[in-house]
Amino acid sequence: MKHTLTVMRYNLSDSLRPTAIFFSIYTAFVLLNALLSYLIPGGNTVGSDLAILIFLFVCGVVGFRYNFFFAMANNISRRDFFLGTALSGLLPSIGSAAVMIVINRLISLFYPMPTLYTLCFERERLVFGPDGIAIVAQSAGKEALTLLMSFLFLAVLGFSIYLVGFFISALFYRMNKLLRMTLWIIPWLLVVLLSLLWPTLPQSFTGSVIRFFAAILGITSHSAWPAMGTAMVLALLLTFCGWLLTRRAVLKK
Amino acid sequence: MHLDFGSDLPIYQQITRSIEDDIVLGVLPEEGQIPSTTEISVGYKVNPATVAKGYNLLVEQGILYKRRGVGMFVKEGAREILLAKRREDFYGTYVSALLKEAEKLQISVDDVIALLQRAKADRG
Amino acid sequence: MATIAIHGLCKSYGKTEVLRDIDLTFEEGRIYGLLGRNGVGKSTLLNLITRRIFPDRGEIAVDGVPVGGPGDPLRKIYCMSEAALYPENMRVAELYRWTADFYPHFDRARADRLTAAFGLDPKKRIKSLSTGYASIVKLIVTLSSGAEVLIFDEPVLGLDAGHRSLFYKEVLSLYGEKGCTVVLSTHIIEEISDLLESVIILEDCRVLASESVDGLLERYHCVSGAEGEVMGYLSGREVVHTERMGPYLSATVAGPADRQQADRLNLTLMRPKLQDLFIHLTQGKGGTL
Repeated sequence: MKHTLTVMRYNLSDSLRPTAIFFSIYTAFVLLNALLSYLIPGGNTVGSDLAILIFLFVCGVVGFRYNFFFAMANNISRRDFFLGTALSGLLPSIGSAAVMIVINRLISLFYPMPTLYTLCFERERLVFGPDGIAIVAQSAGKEALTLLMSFLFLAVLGFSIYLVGFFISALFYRMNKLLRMTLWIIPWLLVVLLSLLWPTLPQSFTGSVIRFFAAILGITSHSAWPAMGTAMVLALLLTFCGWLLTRRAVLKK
Repeated sequence: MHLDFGSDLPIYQQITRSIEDDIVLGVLPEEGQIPSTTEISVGYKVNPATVAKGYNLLVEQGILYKRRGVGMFVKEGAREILLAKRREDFYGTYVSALLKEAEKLQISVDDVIALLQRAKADRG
Repeated sequence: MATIAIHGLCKSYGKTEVLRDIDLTFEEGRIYGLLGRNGVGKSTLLNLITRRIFPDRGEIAVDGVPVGGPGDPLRKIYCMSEAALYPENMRVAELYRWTADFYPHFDRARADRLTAAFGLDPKKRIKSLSTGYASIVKLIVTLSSGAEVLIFDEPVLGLDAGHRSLFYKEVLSLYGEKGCTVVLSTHIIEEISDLLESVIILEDCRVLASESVDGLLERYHCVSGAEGEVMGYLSGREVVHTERMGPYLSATVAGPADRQQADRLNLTLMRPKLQDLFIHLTQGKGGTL
């Protein structure tokens, strides 16, 4: 426990430079995009939140090897290293979400800019009827609440995806070349298999699967909370797996 | 002090002998302080325990004494003790060795005596 | 000052056995040399002590506290390894700052003094250091760490003669001041043989020797002279090594020297040198002790 905070501080100071660079580029890009959309009709300002999510994912993925080596050099327990590195995704997630909100509000002054949250849960709504799925337009909710939910949504999703990235980097560290190649292929295999199998499955089964995912992602209930819950649960599960991988991790050449 | 790492004599004995030589020559005066074990250790890159072994030997023989918190000092009367010891050892160290070498070179004892008298004359 | 006790340690990499039933104790306040031929497992042993890798069997304890358990006994140790463990983009001065965070007794004044003494630029990044300076930064951190046990794995890799000499002096100076336990694992044996108090030799997965340097050297002697005479002396004795140079023969023999016999046969007797003895004992023929 003793060194968890120090490991956190180290990770944060280590990521300061890349974070600053990222956010400079992000802000510049978003502003430019908004400006262009304002001047040229037909443009849109969607998707900037996604860039933040990708950035946080990358932060999680790159950290393992060199941080682990440094922890070993300083005789830090694997537990302190793991906790410190995992928790050091918290501050950037919250910080990034805050920055996003600030920029969003500034730009919204002269051009409408949706956040990931409003896109998913306030613009449109998926309704499940007997004939299938329908999309119904939804009016925007209260301003302050929307802001808060946007912030929370991005922060929670961001931290979850950071933890997923961290799990993946632990996985890759523990694997040898052969296993790593296998891991790369699996997602593609799954996609191919699913797309082949899906039409052949009975309607009742596929229907309930879709309904399940809609529920946990908050699409049915039109609320972000299930989605955030699902994200965190998934992330925590994978983080626990990451811990199992880390506790027997050894120094490699 | 000079240490010869190529020599067959253990380091601690070389240290002992060096200090004895310096006391006899007057380089290290009585009641004067000698370098600390750490100083010798660092200076010659030798384990401090080895230096301490040499020093302790001299303490046992009444040549050095320790002043707590200050260091090692040459005991009063040390020079006399050393001179007496060396005089006693003179026969064994030099005379026997001289005759043994002479025997090796087939120089008789009488010839050795003649050489000694020549040396005495040369020294004036 | 800390004691490291190792008992029944075993480690294999796949089918290759590296360490078998190792029993060792590093007593507090001594300077140890850890010696062994290339690939014998010195680094493996040190990595096992610092729990950078895990043993197959056996226990390692620091002051009675098992490593890897609660109590964090590894805080008492700082180990500089051969491997590059420091983040390559970090500057030397930053490295000192972070090490001080992890090791509260880190002596920054000493680190700065050593940095200047070795001619190292503290603003340089780790990745831009030469082999020699990469070793130097590691040994400076180790010497300044303030830990009770300092372990050096190949500390003088790439160091010129002047820097090697400076390093040995700094180790002795620190040792004289603090009385810490020092373990030097190195191939440059003769340079440090007078520095060491004790020596541990690893050979063929086992501990070949674990005793004071004086004790080890006293159990052997070297004899040289005319071949015929030497052979006469050697009969009935355990011979570790012989070397012939024309009509001369020199040999390293186990047991105490017989001065009278040597005098009679006109042979020269000498104390063995640690490096030579090490080479002879670890020829891979399963040198007996």
